[in-house]
Formats: sequence, structure tokens, C-alpha cells
Amino acid sequence: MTKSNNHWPDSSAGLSRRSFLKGAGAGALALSLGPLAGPWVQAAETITIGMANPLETFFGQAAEKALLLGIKQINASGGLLGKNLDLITSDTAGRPDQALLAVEDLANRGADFLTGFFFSEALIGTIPAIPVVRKILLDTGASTPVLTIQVSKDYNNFKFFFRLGPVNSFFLLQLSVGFVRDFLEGKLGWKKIVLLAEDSAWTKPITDSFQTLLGAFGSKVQVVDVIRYAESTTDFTSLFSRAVKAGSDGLFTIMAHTGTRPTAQWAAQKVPLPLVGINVQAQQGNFDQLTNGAAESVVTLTSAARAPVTKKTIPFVDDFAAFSDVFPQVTIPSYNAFSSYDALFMLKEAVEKAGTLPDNEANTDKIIAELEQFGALKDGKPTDLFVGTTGHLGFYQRGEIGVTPLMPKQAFPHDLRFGPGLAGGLWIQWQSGKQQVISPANLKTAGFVLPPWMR
Amino acid sequence: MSTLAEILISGFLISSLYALVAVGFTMIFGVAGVMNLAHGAFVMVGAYIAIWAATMMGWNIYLAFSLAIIGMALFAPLVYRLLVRPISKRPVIVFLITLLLAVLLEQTMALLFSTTPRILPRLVTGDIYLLGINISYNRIVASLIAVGIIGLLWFTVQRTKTGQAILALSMNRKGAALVGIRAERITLLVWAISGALAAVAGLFSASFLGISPLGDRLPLVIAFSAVVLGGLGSIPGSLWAAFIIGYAETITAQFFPEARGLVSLFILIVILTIRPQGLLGREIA
Repeated sequence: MTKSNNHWPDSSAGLSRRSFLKGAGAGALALSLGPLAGPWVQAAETITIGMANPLETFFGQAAEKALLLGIKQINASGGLLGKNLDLITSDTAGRPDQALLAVEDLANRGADFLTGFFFSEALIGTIPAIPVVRKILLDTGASTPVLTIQVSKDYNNFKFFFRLGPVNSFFLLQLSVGFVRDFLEGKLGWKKIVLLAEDSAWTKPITDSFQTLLGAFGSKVQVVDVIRYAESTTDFTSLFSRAVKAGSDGLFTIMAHTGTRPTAQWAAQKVPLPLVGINVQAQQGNFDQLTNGAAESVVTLTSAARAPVTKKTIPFVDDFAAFSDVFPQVTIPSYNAFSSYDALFMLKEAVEKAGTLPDNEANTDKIIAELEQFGALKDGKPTDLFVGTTGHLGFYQRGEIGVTPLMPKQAFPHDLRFGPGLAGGLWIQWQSGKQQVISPANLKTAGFVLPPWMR
Repeated sequence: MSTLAEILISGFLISSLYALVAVGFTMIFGVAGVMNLAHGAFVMVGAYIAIWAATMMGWNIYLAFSLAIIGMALFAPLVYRLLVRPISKRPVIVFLITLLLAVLLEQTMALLFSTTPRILPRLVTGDIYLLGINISYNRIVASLIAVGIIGLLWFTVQRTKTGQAILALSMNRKGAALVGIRAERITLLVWAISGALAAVAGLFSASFLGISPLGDRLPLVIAFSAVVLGGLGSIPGSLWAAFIIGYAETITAQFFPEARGLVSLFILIVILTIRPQGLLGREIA
């Protein structure tokens, strides 16, 4: 039994004779050695999860820790279809080219399922590999809608892709605009904001439509300036001065890879504007230490926190903190750690329902069909939702349009369903060295505070 | 008006730091004829030594800074003795080995400290409102120290015996040997000075801009630009260049922040094309 698939990429017609012979020779060798060597043997005894992430970052480590925790729990309760789970990892270094290689590397090393992909550029980099390796790929780190649009366009080649979190960039925008309207405008009385966004793929749809959507949502808040800065920016002095001059009530951040530096400089410069928004680095448990004590009052969106989002959330956060087999310094799960854990357990449920492993494409299709059942529409309502740590999870279906006013005619099959009672987000604020939930109201653990120099 | 003041002030603060990096790089080129591509990595390693001492071992910040400076002043000559000197007659190999060393140092720091940017505790706290912008004392002190160090270096080169020896060596190695200058000792000294300057630049930038092991090619680009712009081996030229780049970046950041990193590269290419000998050409040290 070989685990390699027999689907050549479309480009195989263009293979040179030499490379074809090389490939054929290797194939023959693999067939003859198949029962004896390599990942084929391993596959018979364990089910291998392959994670691709920037391994040296907090986000790579937190995701790995969440997966290892989940694998330990699953193996302790009898495994999956009688087999133990195992984790292999590959480093994307957060780069598109490395992410592509990581997918190929994990597939070659016998991964049955792929997961990870912190940040959109890395995920976009994997596009050419997805139809080639033909393995179920659960995105837990990137929000770009490009991939699920690809599923809608070329289902046969991209059906393997599912997003477990975060919600896609359009929904992140809707969440952000909702927060501005309901919280910043509704509760704090803000009238003007400045957008401060790192210049990268995932922030583009957000800054492009922020003002329009605010209006559409019935908010009177004005975006008085949009500052998009290069990710390599080290000195933020002039950007903050520009924001102050624009005359606003606060800075709304849209940053993932950067965040430590601007936050530290914002505090050092005592910028008289609260720093709220999406600031992914601020999800780190040691963000206060990383920024040299600048975290106080910083607000960020996250997928979940230690709050009763579902019955699974608080137990997971506590188990994560207590799990010291790896990365003992990582004690608070990042958004992609929550999603990685959810991906694992959702996969377990789908595989058990399908009763098979993805050892050929027909069986892979059976598992895909089971995953597609999560959130399937019945009488216009999503059903069979999976209870995860970040909410009740399900996927949009093929041909299901009108899910976002920002792209009303586009379907986003296999994208995470967004909305009340589904997956959403939590707004947390750093207060006295701790992350507190300030919104939504039903999960709130504290009220909003201003930066120390504005109190 | 306030925009102009801001550009003048922020530009000066950042340029003085760039000048530290550039002078260290150009001195090694002037005296030893070596393009040390690991110079940017020296800046970063210096900062990480202090981060290790101050935030992980809990040392006093002044002690941590001293350790970093002494550490790099010893490390740089060691690199020269062990890696560069044995192959000094093959410039291409030297070029390659310093590049490899840079990558090696980056990866090592990423492994030890992760790739998340770190911020060093400030040397001095407090801040001041100057011409409409809020500046921390830390930045002002850093800038003044940088200018002071460069001034001291200038004085040393111009007015002391050792300085004259450095100058002589940079002009003509054989001639310097003929008049009894111990080339080897002076070369080691210059590497030590260069390492120490890199460490100081690293410490200051980590204390208000933050530092990360990967992707921060900026110091090297600055150093390179400064050397090319100013003319290879020219200290005044590299000072000019550091300020041109610092101000160009500040102005870009003000009006077109997406393109901040592009400016120094663009200036570099333009000058290389129209004035390959640099702004001031090869002059002193």
C-alpha cells in the first residue's frame, strides 16, 4: 500500500523525458520498497498530523503545543480508529516559498493531514502545492479569502482546504467595524479614528472598505487617516505624530507580524491616543515583558480567551497552561493555538464518522464530505455545528452566496461560518499585566481603561 | 512648521545611530580592505547580549550594556583572526565568509531568542515636549552619545599617534610598514573599535526601536549605502551618507510609509550609477 497518490499535476504533460524517467524510476523503487521502508510503514501504525508554521515564533510554538496537548488527550482515550496520532512539523519561517516547501516536505514525510499556516502570505504560497499533494489542509492561522475563493472556482483541486480560524479578512473587517460602532462609538463616544495597518495581503480588504462599511453599519465614526506602513518599519515616531495631528479619538490597529515595536514606541512616546484594534502580537502571554511594560491598555481582537465562549474554552486554556511537555514559557494560547486544537478534534470526529483514513482519494473524499457536514444548511440554517473552543464551528457550502456584504456574489466554500452563535471574536485588553475581556458584553470580565498617561 | 521640526528632530535621532553603524563598517574597509558583511549582524548580536543579561539574567542595565560593548569589542577581532586573516588574500572568499557568518549569527539568535522583536529597557526614563513632538530622554541621550563617540573617534584619528597609524595604514599598507607601524596590532584595534561601535548602535536601537534576529537587514544596508555613498573608506563621507539616508527615510515615513525601506536602496542605486566613486571619494581613513 502506498500513501503517495497517483494523480499527476496537470503540468505533467510538460515534463521532460529525463525527469519523467527519473520519476518513474523512483516510483518503481518506492513500489518495490514500499512495504519495507519509510513513511509507508509508519502510516500503518500511526496517523500523522503535519504542521507547517514559523516554528521559532510564539505562534508556531503555541500551535505546536496545542496540537501536542490534543494528541496526548486523544491517544490517552484510545486514539483514532484504534491508531495513535503523531505530530511532525516543518518550518515555514512565515515565508511563501518556505511554506510551499513545507507542504511538500510534510507530504513526503508521510503526513496524513496538514495544518498550520500562520499568516496569509505563507498560506497563499502553498496554492501550487495543494492540488499536487492532495491532502486535507486545515488552515488555523491565515485569514486571506483567496483560498476559499479558489475552492469555489476549482473545487476538484482545492476541496482539500478548510479554514478553522480565524474568520476570513472580510469577517475580520465586519467584526472590527461592529466593535467600532457598538463599543468605541456606542459606549465610549468616539467620533474619529485613524487606521494604522501593516502593509500586507490580509490588511488590504480591511483598510479598503473600513469607512464604507462603517457607513453601511449605521455608524457616524469617521476614518480621518489611513496609515499603511512597511512591515520592515523600525521607527514609528513620525507615524504616531501624523496620527495625533489627524485629530482622532484613537488608533485602530490592523497588525499581525508587527506589533511589539509599534506598541513599545507608542508607550515610550506617550501617544495621547488609545491603541485598540487587531494587534495579534498582543495575544502573547508575555507581551507586557516583550514590550518592556508597554502593554497596559492595549486592546486586541482574538479568537477566544479564558472566558466561557463554549464549554470547551476554559478547560482548554487551563490544560494548555498546565501542559509542560513542550514550550513551558508559552502559557496563554494564541488565536491559532485555539484553532489548531479545534482542527484536531473536528478532524477526529470527521474521520470517525467516515470510518476511514485518507489512504486514497476516494477515502479522502469521504472525510471531506464529513467535514462539509459541519454547518451544512438545513432550511436555511446551519446545523451539525462542531463545538470548538472558539465557538460553534461549521463551514460555508458550495454555491452559498450573500454571506458578506463586501462580496455579495462570491461563495466561500469551506470557510469558517461567522456570526452570532457561530465563530466570532473577543476583544481583550491588557490591564495590570493580565488580559481581560472587554467585549462582547456577555463574556466581559472588565471595563475599558485608558493608557496610563491619559488617565 | 511642526512637520518640518519633526522631520529635523526625528531625522537627526535616527541618523546619528546610522552614523555609528556606518563608521564602524567603513573603518574596517579603510584599514583592512575588508567588506565585513557581518557588521549588521554584529549590531544585532550586541543588542542580544544585553537583552540576555538585562531581561533574562536580571542584570543592571549599565552592566548589561558594558558587557555587550566589551563582548563585541572582543568578538570582532576574534572573527578577524580566526576567519578573515587566514584568507585575507582572497577578497571574494572573505566577502562570502562574512556573509555566511551574518546568516549564521542571525539563525543562532533566532534559535536562542525566537524571532519576536525584543525591546531593551531604557537607559534613562522620562520625556520632553520639543517643538510639538514628544521625545523620550532615552532617544536624546542615545543620539548625543552617538555624536560624542564619533567626535571622539575623529579626534583620536586626527590627533593621536594611534590615530595617525590608523590613517597611515588606510592610505598605504606597505608605506606604513616601512615607517614601523605594526599593521597587525592596528588592524586588530580597528576591528575591536568597529565591534564596539556596532554594539553601541545595537543597544540604542534595541532600547527604543526594538530588535529582531531576522529580517533586520537595515543596519547592513545602511552601512553599505553609507560606504558607497560616502566613498569607500571615508569617515566624513560615511557620516554624510548616514545623515542623507536617515533623513530620506524620515521624510518617506512621513509621507509614504509603505515605501520606507525602499529609499535607501533607491539612493544607493542612483549614486552608484552616476557617481561610482561616492560623494566624497576615498579620502581619509
